[in-house]
Amino acid sequence: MHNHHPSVELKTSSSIALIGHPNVGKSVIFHQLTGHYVTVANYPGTTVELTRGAATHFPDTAVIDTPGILTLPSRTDEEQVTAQVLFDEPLRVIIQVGDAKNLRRTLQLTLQLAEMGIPLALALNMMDEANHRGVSVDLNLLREHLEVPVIPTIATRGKGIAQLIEQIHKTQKPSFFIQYPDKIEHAISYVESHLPDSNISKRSLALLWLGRDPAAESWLKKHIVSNTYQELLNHRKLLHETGEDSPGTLIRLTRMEVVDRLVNLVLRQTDLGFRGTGVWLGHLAIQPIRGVVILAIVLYVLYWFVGIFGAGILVNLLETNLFGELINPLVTDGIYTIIPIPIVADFFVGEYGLWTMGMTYALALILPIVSTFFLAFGIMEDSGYLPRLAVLTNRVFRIMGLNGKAILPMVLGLGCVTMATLTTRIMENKRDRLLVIILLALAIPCSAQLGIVMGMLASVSLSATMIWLVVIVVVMLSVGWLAARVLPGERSPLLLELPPLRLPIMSNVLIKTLARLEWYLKEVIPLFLLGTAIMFVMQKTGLLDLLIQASEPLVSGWLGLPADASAAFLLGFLRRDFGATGLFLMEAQGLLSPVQVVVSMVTITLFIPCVASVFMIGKSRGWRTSLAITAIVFPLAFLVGGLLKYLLVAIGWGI
Amino acid sequence: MSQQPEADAPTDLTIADLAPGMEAKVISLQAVQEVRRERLLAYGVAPGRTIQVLQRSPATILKVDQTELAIENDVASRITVTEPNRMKRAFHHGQRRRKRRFRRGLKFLQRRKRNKR
Repeated sequence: MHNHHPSVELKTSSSIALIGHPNVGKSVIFHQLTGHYVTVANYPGTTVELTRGAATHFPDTAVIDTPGILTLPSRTDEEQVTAQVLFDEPLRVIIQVGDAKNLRRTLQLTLQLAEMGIPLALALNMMDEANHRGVSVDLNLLREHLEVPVIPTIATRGKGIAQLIEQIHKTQKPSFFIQYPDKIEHAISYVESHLPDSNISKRSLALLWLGRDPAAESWLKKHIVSNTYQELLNHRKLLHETGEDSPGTLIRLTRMEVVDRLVNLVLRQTDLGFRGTGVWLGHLAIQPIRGVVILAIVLYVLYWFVGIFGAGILVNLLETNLFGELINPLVTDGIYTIIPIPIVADFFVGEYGLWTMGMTYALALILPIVSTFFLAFGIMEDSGYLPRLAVLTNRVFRIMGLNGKAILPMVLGLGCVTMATLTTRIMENKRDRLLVIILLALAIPCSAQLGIVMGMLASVSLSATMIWLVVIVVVMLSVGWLAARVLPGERSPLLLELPPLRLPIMSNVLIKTLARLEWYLKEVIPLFLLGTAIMFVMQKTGLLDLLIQASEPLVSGWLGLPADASAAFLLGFLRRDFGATGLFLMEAQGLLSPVQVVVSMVTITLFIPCVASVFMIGKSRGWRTSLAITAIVFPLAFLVGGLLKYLLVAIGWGI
Repeated sequence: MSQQPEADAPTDLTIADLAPGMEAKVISLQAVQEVRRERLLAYGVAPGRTIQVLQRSPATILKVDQTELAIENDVASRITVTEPNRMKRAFHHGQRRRKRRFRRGLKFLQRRKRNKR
């Protein structure tokens, strides 16, 4: 290691950015260029993750793995973060990771990056996939025309990485120049005259500005006086009003022409009729009937891995054997001898103790379940199956005024609703994001809760499980249907790339899983402890009994549950699964009838997921929204629960 | 290629009219909303470029170069295309099914034309 200061903050004087489309192997190349020390952090002010690592072959240099982008000017959060990296980072080299089999798309981005005036190298990755599909590229000719080093790579097998590293040392500022139509060229020179110096060339900054790039806009707002900014804004507005095509479209079409000419020179495509297993399976997975069969298989494997292995075997091992028999008795005895004051000791190891309830719960019950879930989700993510799931489920989400993309946060929500709230940013607009968040908060049970709910319902009967499932699905569909009609704005139709199905690279999946677990431990466990502490204080001050008494009419009268269930529901306010656990214990003692089990499970499933998720909604969507969702979900959960009770009693079910 | 379509002749065909396996050139995306038009252009669905329809249900699956895209009918019906080109191997179905699909596709187009008149 050349790095003399292996500082935790990874402060380096220059950096190398990896930029490219989604699913082109940026992360694989990233791991080959960096050592073991890698940080994954949200980009300031966003929920987009940015990975940094110290470069192995370059002293005092960081490598940045930027989120996959489709195009600039930026339109999505990911694209904005990548644009911000270009503006703010002391970039020494940009490495574009490109997909060799989609040369047109790749070069589209190359031209844009070349215009920025930062030394650039193009790693043309997945050469093997391109060869299989009969795509061959004349690399020498491409290098000659682009005046940019082009390195063929097969990153998954480490091919071409050494040459890439060698080329990074030699890269120079690209001199590629595109002449745009007169209208655009005039606009560029006008805008350029008002721009301050920045990391990227004035010309490319002007082009981003003309294409209404939000990252360029906010950077300029900070770096020029407001009068000038207003002038630029007026100039652009005027430009948009004249002519049929917007400046952004004109710029894009000009670049496409250049790319087309270039591609005609260097690309040879022969149709080999490539039919690999991945392609075959990829197509099968989106067929109307066979796709559903594949989905059923995937779900079964997921259930087996997370539900039976994670929630069953691992939890049993950790909770009963490790914590229940070994650690907790030791800790309890230890605390009582160290701290002789009972009330203080209770705070740590009592009924609502920080250790005995909060930590045990978080580490022994939740951690194994979310670990297995995140691992399974990572595999699904990297294999390219999730976009196909979106295609299959598109019609269902259409009813709820959404498109199939919403399946991604929904599936992730089955693991952890709080984390799923973060990923709603993949939805196209605010309306869609809000809709998904409402549905997540209302109807998606997280893995910890799901395990308990399933266990309880299964012990009653299969029909109990079916009733629960039907009620939850009907509530979700009707609330979604209603919300879609109430919320202003239009539904955005599905438009999604289907990357080829691939075998995921396990090291990448593991790194991603570990990063997610780290986040989980840091963000969620403190909230667990906070919740436990609140419960402790409430119990000791007698507030808990008071609240239980106050909620009795609702719980006993309306829902027809035993009085003790009030405590479980109060716990459910802090965490749905806390509440479910409380009910689980009651059922184990034979205190609940079948009807009561179903009613309580439906009500607790429809509850707000947990304090953590309310915080997360507040953070990402504003506190008003968070409050509004809470105010809708609670009454609704009780309403549905009560109505279900009357219905079940009326038809004489479960007696 | 026996039946080369007239280059970019104006038709009112859209991607939504193509049967699985058919290839056609894109004429215009003007009817698509700007946000989505930008993304489609970036994916390579651009005027003059050849696209192939792989599947129509549950969503339209397009192939442009080596990229596969899933779009909804709302979007597909806003992208106008030329008369479809020859039938390419759609998937890996048997020869017979492929032929049947092709004939069905042709009939579909003929019927459509008749209805217009």
